[in-house]
Amino acid sequence: MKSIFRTALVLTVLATLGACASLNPVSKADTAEQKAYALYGTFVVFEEQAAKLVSSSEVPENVKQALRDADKAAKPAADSLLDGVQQVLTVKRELAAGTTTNEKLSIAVANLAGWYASAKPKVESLVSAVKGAN
Amino acid sequence: MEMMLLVSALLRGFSSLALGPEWGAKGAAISQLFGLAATTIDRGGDGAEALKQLVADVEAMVAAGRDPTPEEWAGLKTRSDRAHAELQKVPPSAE
Repeated sequence: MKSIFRTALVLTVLATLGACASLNPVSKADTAEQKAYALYGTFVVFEEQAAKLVSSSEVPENVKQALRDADKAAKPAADSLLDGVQQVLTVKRELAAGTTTNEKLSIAVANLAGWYASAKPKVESLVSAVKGAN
Repeated sequence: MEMMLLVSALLRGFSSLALGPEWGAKGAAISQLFGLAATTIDRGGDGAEALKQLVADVEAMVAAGRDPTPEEWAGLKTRSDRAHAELQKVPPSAE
């Protein structure tokens, strides 16, 4: 009897995680800015989930600490994406005003792609930590 | 998502039923298992709903051929700062 309940529990957990795994915002994006937004947005969703988990009495303290550590590591990298976006927005405004060139915009977008690449593994670590804690 | 809510509600119902006197100590353990499963679904459900919304937002941007606005970026940053502060808040017992 107990094994039936355990199996049911495992199946419900897998079904929930499966539903989350099939939703990948980054795969829907086209441009560098859309990809950065999708990655940062994914980070925010899982950071919010982590915040809910650390406030729950059912989650063990070591798991809560692992979530805090993963967030501490990911947050600066994720926020650095915003610096890259700020650069792109500034150059776009300058381009509209005719005070800069398309080449400068290409450089800013390439820089954003670099910030994106460095933030991605840290965001993925937080996502794994939250999925593991769930 | 409605299916997840239904499953969660059913599990919580079973959890309450298993606490009845005829179930004894085993009932308490079974109730705990059902309760934990329902909580897991609720949490995963919240995250899945937020991810679904994000996918819809990105798809709408792609369809409109536009990049995110400064306001959309600011909205995400505010949510992140709030969650980060909540996460890193050290509980009184750990101080």
